[in-house]
Amino acid sequence: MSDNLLEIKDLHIEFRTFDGVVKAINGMSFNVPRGKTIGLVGETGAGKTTTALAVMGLVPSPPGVITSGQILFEGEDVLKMSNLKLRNIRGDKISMIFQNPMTSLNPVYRIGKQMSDVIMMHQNVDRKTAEQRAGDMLEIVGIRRERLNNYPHEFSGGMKQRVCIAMGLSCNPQLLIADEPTTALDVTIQAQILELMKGLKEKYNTSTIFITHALGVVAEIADYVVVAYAGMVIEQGSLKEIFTDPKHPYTKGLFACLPDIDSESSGALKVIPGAMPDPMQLPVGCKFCKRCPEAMKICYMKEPEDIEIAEEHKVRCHLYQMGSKKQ
Amino acid sequence: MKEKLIEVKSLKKYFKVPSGELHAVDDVSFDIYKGETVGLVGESGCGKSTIGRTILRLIPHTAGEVIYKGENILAYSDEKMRTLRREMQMIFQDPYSSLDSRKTIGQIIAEPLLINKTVPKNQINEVVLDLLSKGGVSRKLYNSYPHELDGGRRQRVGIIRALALNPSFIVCDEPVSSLDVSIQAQILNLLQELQRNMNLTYLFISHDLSVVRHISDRIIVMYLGEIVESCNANELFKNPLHPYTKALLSAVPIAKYNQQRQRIILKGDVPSPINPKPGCRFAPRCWKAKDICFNECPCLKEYSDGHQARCHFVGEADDMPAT
Repeated sequence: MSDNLLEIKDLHIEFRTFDGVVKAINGMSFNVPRGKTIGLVGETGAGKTTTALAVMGLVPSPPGVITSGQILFEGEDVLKMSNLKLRNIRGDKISMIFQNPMTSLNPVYRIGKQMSDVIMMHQNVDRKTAEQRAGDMLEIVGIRRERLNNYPHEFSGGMKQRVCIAMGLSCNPQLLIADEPTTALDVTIQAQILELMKGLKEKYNTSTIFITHALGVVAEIADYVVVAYAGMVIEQGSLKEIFTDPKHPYTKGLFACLPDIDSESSGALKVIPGAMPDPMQLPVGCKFCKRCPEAMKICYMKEPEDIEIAEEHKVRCHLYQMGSKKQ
Repeated sequence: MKEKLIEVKSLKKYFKVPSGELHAVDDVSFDIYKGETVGLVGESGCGKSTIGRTILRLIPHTAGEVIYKGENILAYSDEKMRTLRREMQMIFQDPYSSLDSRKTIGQIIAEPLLINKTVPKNQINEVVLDLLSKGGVSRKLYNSYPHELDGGRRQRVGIIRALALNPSFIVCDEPVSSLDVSIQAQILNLLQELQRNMNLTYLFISHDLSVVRHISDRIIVMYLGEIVESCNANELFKNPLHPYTKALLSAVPIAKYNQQRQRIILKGDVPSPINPKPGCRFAPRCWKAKDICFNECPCLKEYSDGHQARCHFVGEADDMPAT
């Protein structure tokens, strides 16, 4: 068996709407090694969440259509699985934590019931054992087990997110997809959740896809970084490679436009001009060419391919094509 | 000597809730000088937005004064306040809900001009187009509706609308929080450029400390409705005095490889601001708290030039929590 728990290969997803075809994912490919955390970064519309939903088999259809590609989970294609099989995998082997903890819990059930439902469904145990297990999970994320009897509204935002994490981990999933799990939280609470997730990763050896737009959070938690733009991966590599030696002009731009908390300067920030291309009318060549400070003629005509720049570092940009490695 | 534009004196805002009184803003005083940017930081529920809204009288205050040009504007009649609003504007967080979805961009920006009659009707179009180019929005969008614009452009329209009446003071309530980082940088640059060109004064409310440091001259840190620390922007990052400020700074994730900083993980959540207990409001989460903290509320004291903090133990050793 390969070292990769999950392999996404040349995934294409489009949404066929009345206004036209929205090309959300255009050849997304990356791997998730066992026991590692992938930081999937990108701006709104980069296709981060759609990719995650595809892995879970949750792309709403219609209007969503997966036109081509493979998502191999333990060597088996998720896209070809029956609904029944998918249902058994979801929540058990693959589970997901959503961005907004306020809306991902059901307000009318006690969290003990919600948590034990998941456990009963997948572990074939009775309610009592399941509740017991749910209580254990709550304690792991730092919430007293008596609170199983509370309703979601009785928890603060940070605690609700911890409940979601506990629920996501309750069946010992092999793959955890965390979609912006700390974006809606305050920084001190975010720090708590990140510490918690780091600890759990060591304890359970879970592979994680951590979706976020905050590079600071990625630096904390990820082993590998995947940078997405307009539905494809434009650069990927180990945390060290991407953070110390970014190659793609977009990745460089992302780092440059962050205000530096350690700097006294308040001069103008570097910007990436313009905005993400309209997914209904994607440019022919490189999707970033219109905003790229280093764009060449070829960038407008031909889409670049993945180039391996170093071990564990791939970039999709014409600047590095054909051995013309520009430093 | 710099000229004071706004003086906030002992401002209080309590909300009545079924279980008692919610102390959203409790006895807050600070000055804003002409041409500067004051950053207001804190976590959700600490009262930052309420301060901004109370200063502009978008919500009534409970007690206190806001002195603008020598007069307490909180005592103004509604009519007098309406005239004054030309000089005091607001930029909202969510560019998706702060623009009227049934009006075109041109109509949205023209509306304050029409209402206040500052520009003769036949010149309004010209003024609007001029404003659009100042804010970096293409003239082509004049007849577009907000839903046709992306978040960054919408926020630009929100900014342009706030500028339409030539204000001197603008409350920016989390103006870049809902934007992507590449767009965030564009908007921050625009705000700074406009400040220089139009001599604007900002109260910049945000929870993002790196953004606040970048744009502010002075920073006020809030916790549960109170100011816990205020000083010059760079001083705050070099020499934070209050334990909460230290924890807050240490919690910011940094986008650099292998940057270790000693992190202070605060226990628990922000307590409820409803009927707050006596003593320091941060005490239940503070690693330095002693008996006195739970009984006696520390005052905001000045420790060095313009650096104020509210803590019983400022300057004491043993600065890091035992973990």
